[in-house]
Amino acid sequence: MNRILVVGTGNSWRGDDAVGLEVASALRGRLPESARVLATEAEQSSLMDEWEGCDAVLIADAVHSSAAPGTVHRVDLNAEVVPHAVLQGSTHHFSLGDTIELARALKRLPAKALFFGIEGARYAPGEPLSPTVAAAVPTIVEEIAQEVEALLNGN
Amino acid sequence: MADETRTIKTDYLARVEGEGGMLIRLKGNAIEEVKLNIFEPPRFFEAFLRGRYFTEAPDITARICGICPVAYQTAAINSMESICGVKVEDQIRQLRRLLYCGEWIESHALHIYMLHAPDFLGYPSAIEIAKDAPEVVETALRLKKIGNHIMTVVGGREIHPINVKVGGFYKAPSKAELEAMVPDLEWALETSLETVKWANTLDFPDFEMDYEFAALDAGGVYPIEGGERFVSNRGLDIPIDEFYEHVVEEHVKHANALQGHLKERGSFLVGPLARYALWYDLLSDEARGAAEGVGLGKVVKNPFKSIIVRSVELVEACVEALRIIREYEQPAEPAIEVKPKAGAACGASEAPRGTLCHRYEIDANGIILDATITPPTAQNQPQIEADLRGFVGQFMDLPNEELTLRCEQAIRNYDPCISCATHFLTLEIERG
Repeated sequence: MNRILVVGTGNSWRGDDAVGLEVASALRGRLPESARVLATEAEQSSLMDEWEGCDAVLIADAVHSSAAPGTVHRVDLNAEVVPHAVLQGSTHHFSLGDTIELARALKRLPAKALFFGIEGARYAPGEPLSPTVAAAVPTIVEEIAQEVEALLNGN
Repeated sequence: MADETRTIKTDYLARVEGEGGMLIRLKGNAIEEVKLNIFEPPRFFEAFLRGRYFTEAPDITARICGICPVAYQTAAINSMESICGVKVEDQIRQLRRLLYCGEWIESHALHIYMLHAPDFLGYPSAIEIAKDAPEVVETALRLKKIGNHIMTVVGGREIHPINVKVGGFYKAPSKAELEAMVPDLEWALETSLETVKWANTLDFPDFEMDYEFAALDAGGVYPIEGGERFVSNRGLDIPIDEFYEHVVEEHVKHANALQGHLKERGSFLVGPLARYALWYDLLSDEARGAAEGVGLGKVVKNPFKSIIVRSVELVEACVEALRIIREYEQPAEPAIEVKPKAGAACGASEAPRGTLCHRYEIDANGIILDATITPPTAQNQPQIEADLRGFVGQFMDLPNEELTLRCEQAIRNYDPCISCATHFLTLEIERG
């Protein structure tokens, strides 16, 4: 695995929706330079351009389901579909879930594609991360860092 | 049957407080209720702006919307430059227009092909189109990418462009940097012309509304990055500074939102249909030729045909981008210095989905005392409700499933904005 992209996405102004961005920021100093880290609030379908040519992409975003806040849903995108209910509440017009499925249809998913959905608790404008979700960030960062190191080592 | 109650409604986003959906209740042949809440006013941002330095407004407001950051930045800049009494030189203005063309290309391509087309083609989403006709979606993605690239080259970054400031740009791109985009833009222009032809082949319901169309008057050019006046086809013709004397925002209880009305007459429409109807004669030869080529009249009153008009504007954005690059000369200074002056002013720009107005008041030290932001979707909301009433009244006999889809499509005709709006992917019908 040579070209690895780690994407954290969300909305920095909407409470726990920022968790993907926080994870990406924390990973910046943590990962070897050969792995590119992107924290983006971009319209989601443009993410396909970001991972074009990559061997692996790891994506972190907030999700809303009935799980406990801070829970991490890890999905191997080449093996399974992101359960619709998990991403149903996306505020993005063309959502991350849509983008992943569109990439699958167009055969534009990298050979390795992992999704880390982090269960949020609150999304009101201007709020910081909720304490539970903020407390979960170091664990998620560690989990993603280990995945990246394993990929770089060819495991 | 006469007493049968039908309810058509959208699911609302459980995840986001304050955002809602659509509800239409019919009793027999009577429309009992149309309630719409697709817009959450950026009140948080207005509060956040108070107390900040005036030059921060473009960067802060750019974050309101992931799909139209340039619209927000530009409206904020227009307002601040008006307060401070400065006018930028033409090359700076042209660079802003070029940046804005990038946003129009990106946003219009996304909406035409990936958000609106599925309604017409009978697909639940662009994902299913991609399975059957990947070339259609690949075309959209390439167009979007070209729009994004303009935003990166001119704006410094495609989302929340960082190279933009009150007074101009931090750095002006070189002529060579802009010229490198020409081959892609030439492809985009050809593709846009084909898009107009393709959009015209879609099936449209036989439905028209008698709109009051409103848009900026940009003084002899098709309005994009600004305009000094706000005008309509029914006699509205005001300096942009008087926007809030004529457009009143009313709190709508059912929606927990503010909706814009013209004080004199009520609902009105901003966006591609309005710009096209008011400023058809200012379109480029290519854009007008494309419209004429498919027999599109100078005024389009069928809101479902907004997909064709949006395609014509896609042509216009490509033509304008190519023209600006051809005529561009790198300015000696990328910006002029702007010193704060106590005062208040409105500034507006034409976001892809319609007129966006900002009003700021600042003190002599440049501190923002007050901020009001009225996005196009807030202005269009009463008109969308009127369209739904009109449409359901005319097509009441359609089976529930089709009527529901058509209502959803009627909302998407307006391309409601991303961060400020919920989306309409899940609809339910309840029979009483």
